[in-house]
Amino acid sequence: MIDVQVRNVSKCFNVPAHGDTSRRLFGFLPRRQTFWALRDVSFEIRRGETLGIVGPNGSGKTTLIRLLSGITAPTTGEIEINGRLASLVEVGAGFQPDLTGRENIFLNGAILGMRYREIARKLPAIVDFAEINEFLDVPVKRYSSGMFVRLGFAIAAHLSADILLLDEVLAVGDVAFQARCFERIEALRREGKTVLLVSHDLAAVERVCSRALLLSAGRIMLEGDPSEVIGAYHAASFARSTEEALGPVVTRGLTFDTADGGPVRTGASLRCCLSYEARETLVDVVVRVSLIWPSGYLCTELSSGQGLRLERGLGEVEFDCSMLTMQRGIYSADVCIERRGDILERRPRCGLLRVGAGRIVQGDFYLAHSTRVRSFSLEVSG
Amino acid sequence: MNGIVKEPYVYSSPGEPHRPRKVIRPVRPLFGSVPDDLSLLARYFGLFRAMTATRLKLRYRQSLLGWLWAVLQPLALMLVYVAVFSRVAGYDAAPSPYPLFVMAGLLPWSFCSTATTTAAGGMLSYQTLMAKVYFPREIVPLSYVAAALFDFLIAFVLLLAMMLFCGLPLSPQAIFAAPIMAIFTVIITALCLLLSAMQVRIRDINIVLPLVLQVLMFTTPVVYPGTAVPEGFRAVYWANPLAILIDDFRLAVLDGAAPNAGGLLYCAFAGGAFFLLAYGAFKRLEAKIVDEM
Repeated sequence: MIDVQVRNVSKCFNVPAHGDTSRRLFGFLPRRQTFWALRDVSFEIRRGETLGIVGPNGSGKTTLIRLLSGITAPTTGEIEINGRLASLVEVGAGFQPDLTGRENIFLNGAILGMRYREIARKLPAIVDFAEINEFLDVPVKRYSSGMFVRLGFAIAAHLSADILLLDEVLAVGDVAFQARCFERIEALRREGKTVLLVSHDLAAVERVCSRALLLSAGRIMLEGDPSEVIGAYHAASFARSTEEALGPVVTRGLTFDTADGGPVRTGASLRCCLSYEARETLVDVVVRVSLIWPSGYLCTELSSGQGLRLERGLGEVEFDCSMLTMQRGIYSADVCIERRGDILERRPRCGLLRVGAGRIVQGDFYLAHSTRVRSFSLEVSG
Repeated sequence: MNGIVKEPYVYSSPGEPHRPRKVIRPVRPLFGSVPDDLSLLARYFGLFRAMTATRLKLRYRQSLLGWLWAVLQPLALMLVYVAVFSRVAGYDAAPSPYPLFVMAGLLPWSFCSTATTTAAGGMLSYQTLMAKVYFPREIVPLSYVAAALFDFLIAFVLLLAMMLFCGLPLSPQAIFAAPIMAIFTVIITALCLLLSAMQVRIRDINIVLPLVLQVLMFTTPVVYPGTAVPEGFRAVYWANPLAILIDDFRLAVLDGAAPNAGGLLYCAFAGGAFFLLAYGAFKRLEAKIVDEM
């Protein structure tokens, strides 16, 4: 059963050309350029599926969400939707700072498409979920940002729609909030709702989605298994950034593998190879590969320490780690090469470290440890 | 343990409730589907209610004068017009005292001017919200009209109080004010829909509107009686439904005269047709609103 079907949809915008203000004053209409945000996009979303859409900024993801929500109309093509669709683009959209929490729940709920009676019925559940019992009749401008986000999310979590569109909502809020978001999405999937997730958080897409789509410059580049699509996305973005190469040294590639040849996983060894090309011999260089959580926080980094020497031409910097303690997930890698404080080459988000499940433990990272049992037998005097 | 199972939970159940089907196409068909639009609007009635309530709450919560403002504005205008016209131009609209005469005319006119000026600017203030969430866009201008209507009702109470104070009796014929204002509201709503749709493209409307309204006020019998219109202009003048309605409103409330049925019917038809036109135009432009912003 198909819930959403997008057929050959294209969307073009007429953007007034810049720098034509003098023309305007003389009564001529400003020149308008056409900008194609989407070109001949076709795909479908099946009942109960979770589809992820990834792609660089400006690839048309937001336009696609707007088309599906009905905010704007396609230039050509058609979209067919079977079922009630709710889109969540911003947590707390339409919140009025001067109104109380209660009034904002009704307002925001109505904006999202809930009827008055439905909101009134779900009000206690929403208030409990958001944990703002004492602050319900206080103007929202006095809420902390955390409460604000919790309230907005609580309202959205109680939407009863068949199809849900989520656009980057996971990016907001702290780690605890994001964990709740995931729980909620999982719950929705178990209920059989159809979810469309647009996100830059590739680990989230891989975790939650059953299928993924790669959008680039308004076209669908790849469609299929989330890991494949994410891999392709990274390969494409790295290839693209290599073209703008300036400076004395250029990063050519970044790979991660294990010394013993198995998959990269917690508890196994890690080897990181950074291939570079140097225009001249460089001394006293520091090479750093930073590994970053999906949320954007720095997890750890591999640093060469002072005094590295890079010979002219092609070469490789290899980092060896006897035991990888990072937990399972997808991490982005940033590369930075500097010399005595001057940055020679900086490449953010140029690699992907995919850590599989090796030693399984709870928590943020794995501590290398071994276990030993000592028993003190009790003497029972007979 | 192999990680989270991610297959889609596909199951077909014959007893599944009916799912609404929607097809989004590039261009809206010309005669749209008015019943669909209206049923969608009915679904979003809660939003209309919440928006109007928000508008009123915000206005009255933030200001010190609050509720008084709905009353002060027409009162202040009335004093100005009384000063100018009864002293300077020497109008005398017996049997009702001139201030009351002007006030009764000002009430519907204030409603018109408040509704149109706020609705025109209102679309822009909601633009960020409209870019994020879908809801029938006409709810925005409609909520401004509803808020202006609410102000009108408060000022109407003031008018009744003034009549009582001047010892003017309220005849049962005054009930005709209800259908008169209903038709008036339909015309104002149509105007607001048109203006707010145009305002998105042509930002000047917001600036020009107050000036235009000031001038247009004199094409309706707010400050002078309907009988004062010179012979030659009568045909053109009375073709304006707003002129007919304002005159009838004043006559019904102050003098207790029942309105002319012919005139009222004409206004009803003209208003209805205008509304359908304006609504159709608005819905056609609706999809482009966010693109233009």
